[in-house]
Amino acid sequence: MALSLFWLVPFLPLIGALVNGIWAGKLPRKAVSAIGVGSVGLSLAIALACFGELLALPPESRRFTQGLFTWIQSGDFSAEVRFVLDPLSAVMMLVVTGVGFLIHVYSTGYMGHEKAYGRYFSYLNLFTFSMLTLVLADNFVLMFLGWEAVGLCSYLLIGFWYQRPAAAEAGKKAFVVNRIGDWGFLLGIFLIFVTFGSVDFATVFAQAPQHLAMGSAVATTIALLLFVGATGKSAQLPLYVWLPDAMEGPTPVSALIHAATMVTAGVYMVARCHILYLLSPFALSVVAIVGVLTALFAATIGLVQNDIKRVLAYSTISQLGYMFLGCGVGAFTSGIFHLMTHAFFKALLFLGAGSVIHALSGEQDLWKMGGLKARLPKTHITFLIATLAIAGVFPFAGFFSKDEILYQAWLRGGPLLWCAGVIGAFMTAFYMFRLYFLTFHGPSRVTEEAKHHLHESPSSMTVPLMFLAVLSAIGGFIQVPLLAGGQRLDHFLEPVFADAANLAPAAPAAHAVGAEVWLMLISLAVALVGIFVAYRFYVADPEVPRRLAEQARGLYRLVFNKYWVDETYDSLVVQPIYRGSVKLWQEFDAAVIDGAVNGVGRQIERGSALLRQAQVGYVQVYALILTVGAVVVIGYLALR
Amino acid sequence: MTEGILFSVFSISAIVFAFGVIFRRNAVHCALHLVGVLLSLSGLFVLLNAQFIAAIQILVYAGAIMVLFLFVVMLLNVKGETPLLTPGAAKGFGFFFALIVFVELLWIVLTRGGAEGTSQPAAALPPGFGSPAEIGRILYTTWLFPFEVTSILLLIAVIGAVVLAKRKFA
Amino acid sequence: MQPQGIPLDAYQLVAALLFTIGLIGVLVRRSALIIFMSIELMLNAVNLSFVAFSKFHGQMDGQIFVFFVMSVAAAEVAVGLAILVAIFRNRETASVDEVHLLKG
Repeated sequence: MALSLFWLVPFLPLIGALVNGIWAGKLPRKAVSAIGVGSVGLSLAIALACFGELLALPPESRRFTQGLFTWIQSGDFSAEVRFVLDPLSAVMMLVVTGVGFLIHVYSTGYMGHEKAYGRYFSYLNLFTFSMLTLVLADNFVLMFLGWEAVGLCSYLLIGFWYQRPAAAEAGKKAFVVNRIGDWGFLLGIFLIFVTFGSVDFATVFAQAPQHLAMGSAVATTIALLLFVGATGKSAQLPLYVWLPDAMEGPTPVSALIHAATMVTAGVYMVARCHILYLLSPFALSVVAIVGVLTALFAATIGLVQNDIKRVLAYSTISQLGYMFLGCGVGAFTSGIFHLMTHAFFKALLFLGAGSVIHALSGEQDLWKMGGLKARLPKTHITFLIATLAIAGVFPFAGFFSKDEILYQAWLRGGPLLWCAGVIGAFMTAFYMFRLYFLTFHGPSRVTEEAKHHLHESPSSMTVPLMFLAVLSAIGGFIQVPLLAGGQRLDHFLEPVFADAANLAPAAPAAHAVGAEVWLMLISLAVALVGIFVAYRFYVADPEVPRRLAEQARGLYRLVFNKYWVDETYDSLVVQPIYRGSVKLWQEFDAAVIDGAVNGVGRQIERGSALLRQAQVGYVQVYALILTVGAVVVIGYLALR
Repeated sequence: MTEGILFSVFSISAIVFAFGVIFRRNAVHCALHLVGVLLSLSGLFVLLNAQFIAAIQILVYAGAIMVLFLFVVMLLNVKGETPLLTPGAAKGFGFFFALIVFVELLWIVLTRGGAEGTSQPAAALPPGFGSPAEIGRILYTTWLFPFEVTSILLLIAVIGAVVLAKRKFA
Repeated sequence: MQPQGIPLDAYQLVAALLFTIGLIGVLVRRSALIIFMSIELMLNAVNLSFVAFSKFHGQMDGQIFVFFVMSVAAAEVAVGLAILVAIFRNRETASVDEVHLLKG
């Protein structure tokens, strides 16, 4: 029975990580690859088998847990290492193992010349283990373990080439900013434990409606604290700043961690804790508003970036905003749906970008690319599919998921949210196709020496691209609106979200089919317009963007410099802390603490110097002192 | 009667010789005065029915230990030092505290002396008191263990003396 | 009538006096050899005291103790003089005023 092997799904990559981590230096490269890729591959196989068995169960009883051991037992508090397989965690599990496996395969090609090959795969496997722990955990504490661990792996992998100062700084930044989010998350967990007396998902969610009144301060606080963690991990306002810098890491890492999996942990967490969010409408609206604002904000920055990976990074932030928008209006399924499709096409985009960078011997500047269509056919076609998907063009996956979110936003959140979403969709289409045109079309701006080495990537890299392209193309069909029986994902996830039925903001049951069709057409039109404008700007008439930039110079500079957010954080937060630390170091640590310790030492020395004067060295003086002592003793005995 | 005269003679000679030990300049003279003290004490021992001890005193102390002293004096060719006594305040302190000690001992003897009724010798000492036979008997029964330990002590002393006084050849 | 005999206190006084003389010698003489001899003087005074007590209590234990004191004195003299010889060989002087390496 596959389900009995369920626990191996997270643990196989852990074993792979340990083996590679300890013995990579002694193993041949092929063995390292086999262990690294094989462990995730095996994990994927077991995951698929478990998923199959889950489907075989009737929908109401699709919840399987497997406990391993009790991790913490202290008084009334206990935290188990227990994994749960229900529809929601199954979706996440398949995304992580599936996309993860493809990226592991890709890495064997991309990192083929890397010296620290073993270390790379060890970290990558460790990340897979951590992410799987996060999504399969049955209680908050184990989830937090996975949460922290993915943060650690992110740091290790961003700073993989640690000899580069930029990479090391980026890794540090990611970790520190994540920590700020984690602080909020942890406070949320504490509050949950204080309120419910337990950290088990099953217990907390079952008791939530009784313990927490609708809209109560406790519910809101818990939800908001947990959301702080989500903003950190999923790069939303205001804690998104680490994600663009994280592009210093190897491109497969960007694909896996910063597109498909780790950054989606926040969305998963909100979906998992939907009861808590539904019990606090205020927190839920905060989620939606932060999501949509982030989506717009990041999209504007992405319009003018010149580094291929930076554009994709801001695009990720923006798309995550959409997912939170979906969850924030109460349509959790749509958020998860977009999470899934986004994993496909964003990973594909990053891997494709990696393929381009690899082909150009490391070039990442868009203005040094161009006309690569002919030279990199496989990369080109898969990249195009992904770009169409993210732009939301029918019938690719992104169309269905994004459209679902926009529809739900209109339905439950109001026209304002929908409008903002549509504007964001336009910008998405525009900047993604700007990226596409600048890279693959137009005159070649590639430098001479890069041209020499220009070659299509090896199959270890192109085959995963093709798999992901297929998924990006047809992945949307599991949730087709309006079609009878087309909403498979909705039905699949229903048992998980069923308990929210009486709490969800009342969705107008009878919605005009017409409205939905109209909204769909508007989304599609917006996407096509965006593509057309990008075509005009970057293929047909390349002077236009330059003229626009000149005319709106101030605006251009503002957006190009990412609204100077990093600089603001630096002067408001980082510098004061840094200066404070230096002050503490010099004045307190050096002067007071060291002074005290050294002072004690000096005093003892002085005392010893004083006592040393009794050691005269003359034997007769010693004899004299003996005599004095004898006098005292005899005198005492005499007088007794 | 005779006992009293003998006691006085031996006591006074012991004390006079003792002063000679500490106040003579020449080291050989000091050693010889010490021999005189030892012989006087030996006489006192005889008066105290400690014949064996008296004999041992002369044989071991005067005959071996003092000979060793004289050997060392002649080996080191010790001259009489010019300032005889320790210079400075230490001299004064030395005399002072030694005198205090004497006063204290005096005090003890005079206040405790008669109280225990041992001013007079105990009645009729057992026969053989102080004889070698008697010493032997007690030494090898009651005091056997200290006896054995002492023999080890002497062995250690012999080895120590040889090692310490050796000329280093390295 | 039983003759009076010498009282114990007399012997003790002599012993105390000899002890004090030895003590003075230890504290004020400069030559290490003479100091040694003064120590021997002190030991002998103690021997006298023991033997006197032995007779006046009628028990042999005092004399046995003198026996041991003598053996120990012999051992001590042997080792002490060996040390003295070693020092003298290094420093050409037997005066305690000039041997104070353990100062401080």
